[in-house]
Amino acid sequence: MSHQPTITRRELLQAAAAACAAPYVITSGALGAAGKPPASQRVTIGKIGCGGQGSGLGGCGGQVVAACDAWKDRRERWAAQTGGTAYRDFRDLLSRPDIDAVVIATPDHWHVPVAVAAAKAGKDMYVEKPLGVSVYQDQACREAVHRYGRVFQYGTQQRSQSHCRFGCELVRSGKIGQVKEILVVAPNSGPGGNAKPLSVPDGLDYDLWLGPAPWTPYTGCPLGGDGWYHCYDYALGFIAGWGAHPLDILVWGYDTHRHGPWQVEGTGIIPTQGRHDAIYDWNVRITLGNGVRITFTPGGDHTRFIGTEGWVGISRGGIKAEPESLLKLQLGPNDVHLVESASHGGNFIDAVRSRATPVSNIDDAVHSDIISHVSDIAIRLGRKLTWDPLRDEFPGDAEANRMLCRAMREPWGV
Amino acid sequence: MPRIFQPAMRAAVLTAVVVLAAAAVPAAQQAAGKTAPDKAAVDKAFETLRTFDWGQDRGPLRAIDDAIVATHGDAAARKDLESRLAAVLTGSAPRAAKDFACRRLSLIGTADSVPVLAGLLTDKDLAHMARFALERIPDAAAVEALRAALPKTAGGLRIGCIVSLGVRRDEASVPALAALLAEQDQAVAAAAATALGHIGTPQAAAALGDFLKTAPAGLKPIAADANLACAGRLLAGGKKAEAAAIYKSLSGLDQPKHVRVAAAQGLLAAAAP
Repeated sequence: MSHQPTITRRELLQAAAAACAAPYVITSGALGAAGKPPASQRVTIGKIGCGGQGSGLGGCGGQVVAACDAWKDRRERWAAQTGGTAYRDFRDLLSRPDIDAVVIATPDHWHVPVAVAAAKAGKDMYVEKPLGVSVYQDQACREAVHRYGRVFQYGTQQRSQSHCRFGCELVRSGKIGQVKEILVVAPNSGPGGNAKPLSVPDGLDYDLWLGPAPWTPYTGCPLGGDGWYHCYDYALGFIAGWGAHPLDILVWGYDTHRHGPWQVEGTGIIPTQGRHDAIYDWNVRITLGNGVRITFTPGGDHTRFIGTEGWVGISRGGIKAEPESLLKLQLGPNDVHLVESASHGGNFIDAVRSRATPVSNIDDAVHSDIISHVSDIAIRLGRKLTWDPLRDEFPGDAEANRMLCRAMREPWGV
Repeated sequence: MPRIFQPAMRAAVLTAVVVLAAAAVPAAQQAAGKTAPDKAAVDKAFETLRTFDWGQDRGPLRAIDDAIVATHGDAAARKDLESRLAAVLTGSAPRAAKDFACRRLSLIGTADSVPVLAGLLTDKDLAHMARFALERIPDAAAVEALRAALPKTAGGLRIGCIVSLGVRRDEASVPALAALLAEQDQAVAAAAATALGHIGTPQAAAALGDFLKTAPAGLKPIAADANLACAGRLLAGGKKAEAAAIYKSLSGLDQPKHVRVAAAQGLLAAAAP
């Protein structure tokens, strides 16, 4: 039997006052250095993952005070560049009370475990895409971010390109009429990668690099390039890793999750030679509950919304439309206006200060990542599946539902 | 094909083979337009699997994956595949082969596979892949095996079982997990608290409420987080009063600010009509 909660107005006010009673701490740079903004305006950043993506992101405009990586040379290089401290283990970095936020640019299989730990430690976070290596991880991340009211920015930086926003605003404002079909295209994965066991190089904590992923011998893919992107233990391949971008535009322009159930079917190739074993050459067809058809294939980068009165195609490189006059349209006050951001990192730092929701929020991140997961699962099971996007499950399909989680290697969990 | 097969005879034989093959294909496969498993290829794949090791071409094993897909809805065929995969785990096959078998049992395993998988939960090399399968096998026998492994394991292997029980939100494990909150190994106690938070029943809440008061300093943040998670589950289940009581207990100045913020959010949610 459930009782009515006995929460008085006074208790609520007391709880709110207690929540706001004390500042976090005086930040590490409170005394300040010449030419830097005062500590009250500075956001201190811990970088977790200092490889290719992590280096490109930098500190998103915040002040990097700590750098973490399983590779010794990478963390030490970043620590030396920023004057911060190098950490091998992200848990040590997260325990620092003077760090406001973290930039998570690890291999994909670490994104959610680190993000959940960051939320529990009270840190805001910029998280590289894709999100989790399972739907369960996506849900755990969303739950932790909401539980602690953390600022979460997803690394789908197209949302900070004005033409992408404008294209989605055209669609949401009905300028192409009723949406009937959506074509999503992303770069392909592929076979390859060395599968023969090699010696673990000096300077790599391989066990920590693997973390929650199954143990397999070192074969060189942690070295970088794009090797691990295409290994199923560490990622889903570009059906998620690059697909995250055009799929994110899809959910920014159209509320796929509000139109269930979905019918999902697809084909693809799973490499059997070399280390790569993520799907490539995929061809996924999703029919939403309202009849809108989505086709998701490799071979480029765009999201094309096709409506009854025209179409809009959006890619990182530009926007096209039919009729072309749509591109010169001035949206009015009664049209849909999405969150404006001119700088993805800057939008994140601003949100850390203001506590606003960033342009690439956790709910949309989960929605787009789940499209990758259900596509992957439908291909692997080789049959048409039904997906309920509100309950995040395959109704009545125990076999497909098994694939919503992957046990994490001990001692890791979320 | 032997030369003595004349075209007409060849056509007749092929027709007969097709008819017989179609009769042998279960209805679910026909409906799905699936191809029946290539028995010879599957046999060869299992033969290859006996000695399969890291770095080898996975192509010869592909027939097993194809058979798993093709036998959807065919319980008897699946049972045969399951027993052959489970047999790999009891033999002297390399670790890579057992890894492969566990991954496939995660897709088609039933209660029949649980005993052999349970036997691996104390094996430091294979415990994770055993859980990879057990965590996904819907039958209650799978969680019972994970629970039964708690007193037989220690350290990381025990933590793995605890995490999996939390993922499964196994209510029957609450007493066993609650007992582990007092473990000397703080990593085990922390994992138990987190799992109880995931399970999120009133019984789990009671254990976590006590833990919030008694946890050593190093586990206070874990205790707070597990209580918040538990309150979230209770709230989602409509148990607003129980959830609010937990949020109130986390609203004091003895908690760090982000916990107090979370508790304040929770109290507001619990107060909503």
